[in-house]
Order: sequence, then structure tokens, then C-alpha cells
Amino acid sequence: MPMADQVAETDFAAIQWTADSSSWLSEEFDDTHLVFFKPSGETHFLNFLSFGALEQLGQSPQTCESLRDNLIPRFDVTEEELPLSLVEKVLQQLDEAGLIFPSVCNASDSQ
Amino acid sequence: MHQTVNSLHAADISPALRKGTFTLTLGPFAHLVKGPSHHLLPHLASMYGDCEASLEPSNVTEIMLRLRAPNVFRRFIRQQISPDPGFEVPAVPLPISMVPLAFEMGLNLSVALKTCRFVTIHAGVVEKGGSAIIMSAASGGGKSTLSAALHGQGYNLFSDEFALMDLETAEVRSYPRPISLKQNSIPIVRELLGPDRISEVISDTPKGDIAYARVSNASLTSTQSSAPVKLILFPNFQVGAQAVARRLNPAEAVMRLVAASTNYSLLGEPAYRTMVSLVKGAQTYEITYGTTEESVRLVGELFGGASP
Repeated sequence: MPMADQVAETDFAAIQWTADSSSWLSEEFDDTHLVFFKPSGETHFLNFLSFGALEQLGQSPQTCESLRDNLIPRFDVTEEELPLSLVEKVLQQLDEAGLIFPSVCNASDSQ
Repeated sequence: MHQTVNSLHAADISPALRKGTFTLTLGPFAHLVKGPSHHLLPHLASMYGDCEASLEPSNVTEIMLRLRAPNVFRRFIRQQISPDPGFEVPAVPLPISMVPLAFEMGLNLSVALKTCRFVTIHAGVVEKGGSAIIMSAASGGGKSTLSAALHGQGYNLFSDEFALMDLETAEVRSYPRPISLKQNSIPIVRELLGPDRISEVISDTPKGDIAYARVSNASLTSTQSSAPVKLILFPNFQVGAQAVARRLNPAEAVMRLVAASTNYSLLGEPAYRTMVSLVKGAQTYEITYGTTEESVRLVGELFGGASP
């Protein structure tokens, strides 16, 4: 019988995350980014990795793994330098800040 | 020619204060004031004497402040006073002798919570040569002492309490009210500006001992009503510390200014755009120092070295 945290881990890996790129304004300062999120009116301070993930998800919905695969060439890093656990953490933080959300599958797609 | 508080007769101001038609114009605001003239007039005369004033309301009044007893009993028995800016605020009633404090608190509440023309940031602002310095610090960080010290060194005082950022231009507006001094800063600023510029100390207030420093006539009458910001500082006074400046990432500076703003969330996107314009045109530093002399020297060096 799988443990609860294993279920959560499996679910998280399967989630396709997305973001609405029209919902924010951003400005880059010294490899960091200010992001003003219009729906909440809040301003966020993101490092280059978090902002890169946000931008990628603003282009198309992606799972944690596919996002990692897209970020590796973008930042010219190796899989060891950008482990899945780090991308997972970034996704969790962006989700908690309300900047990204799971993409919705319609009923016909899931059948 | 405009009339000033001191060019008007006290015998005329008193009934205007009681009726609530007395108008004090300072910076971008016309303040309509109602309050007990016996206690308020000396504060107005000593701290706002050269400010434009009128016995009748101006055509446009943005700030209406009433100083009134919290209830009918406190009008007569152990008299008390509360600032009433026209909306509910959790203000502790004060003894009638603390009318100056109630007046200044009331104006601060009005500007902080009702102003939407500007992004308001809790900060001191000085200006020299057409460029401004914003100094934002937590309470006790030395903002008022540093503002007063720079003012004593010839900088125009734009404000001791608020940086009012224009939403269109991202320039800071001048609003030179008296410098609010607490506890240990009182003797230091008395030494810096001279005893004739400092009010009587109001003791045992909820904030401890309080006094006010009068802004120079040059600052009050300056035609420089706004200025672009060249330097944004986050001062940090630490006893015995060496004077040192640390360059701040502009994005980090914005996050600190957002935390110090009283209306950023209310204004939303225009406030964000103003903040971004502000930091793009300025240099941003956190400064730590152990003495007022060192802080003035350090700020002078940074101001001289900062490109506009």
C-alpha cells in the first residue's frame, strides 16, 4: 500500500503547470526580477531560475520534468546542476505565491 | 500675496479654528483644521509660522482634520483630545496639553491613509541642487535625526515623514512639516539646528518624550516643489558602528519601499510603475553608522558620487 507522501509525489510529477503571461509585469535588475501580479496586486522578487520557470510556463503548460528539460538549455546547465527536486521546489513556491496553477483538463480529454 | 500663519492675527485665527474654517496650505495639500485654538495656535505659530494660511476654506481641500474630545465629559473634566481625520482610527485619547502631538498624528494618518494622488512611502526626504535623497528606515533607525542633520547642513527638507511620489513623473514632492523628534534624538537635533528651532518637549506621551523641529524658512519658501530622486538610502544607526554603505539591488530596494508604503497595495499597477521608474533613476544603498557626523559625511559622499 503506498504511503500518503508517495501518492502526493506521484501526483505532483503528473501535474501540468501553467501561467498566464498577460497577468504580470516584470522588470529585470541584476539577474533578479520584480514581478507585479495583476490579479493579486502583489509584487514578487524572483531569482533568475524562478522567473525562467514562470516565463516557460507562460508559454505552455508543462510538467515538472518537461519544465526541467526546457530550463537546462535555457540556462546552459547540466541535470546535476538542476535536479528535479530543485524545480519541484520552485514550482511549489510559485504555486504558493499564486503565480502558477495546475492546467485544467476538460472531461473529454480525460476519458 | 499669500497670507501666512504669522501674518494673520491670533484673534482672527482662533474663531476660524473653532469653526473649522482655518486652512493651512503646505506642499501639495490644503488642510482644513478644526481644534482648540488655545492649545493649537502656539504650535501653529512656532512650527508653521511662514506657511500659507487662510481663515476661510480653499476651493479644494484634501485633508480635513478635527481635534476633538473623545466624549462630552472629556471636554470639561480632565480634558482630552483625539485626532479625527474623518474616518475611524484607533487613536488613544491624549491629554489636552498634547494637542501638537494629536495634530501631527492626525495629519500623518490623513496623508498615509487617504492620499491616492501619490505613492506615499514612510521616509525622510531632503533635496539639494535639484536632486533628492529618500531615506527609509524602521522606527528608531535614525531617519529623523539624519534628515535633521542634513537639513542643518544646507539640504532643503522635503519631508521628515513621507516621500510623496508623483504617479506620472516618479518625482518626489515637497511636504516640509516639522521634524518629529523622539527621546534621544531631541538633544542631538537641538545641538544641530539650535534651540530656537526646537519646540518644548512633550513628556510621557504614548511614544515617550516628543519634540518638533521647525523647518527652515528657506525650505518652506523654496520654489523647488518636486525633484527627481538621485539616492535612495536605508539608514541603520548602530551604536559604535563604523560608517559603511552597501549597494542594494534595485529590486530589493523596491521590495523594501513597498513595505514602507502606506498605499502601494491600494494603488496597484500605477504604484508599481512609479517604483520601478524611481529605482531606475536612482542609486540604492543600505548605510550603517555610529554617529551623526559620520552619517552626514557618508551621505554627502554618496550624493556627490551618484550620477543623476
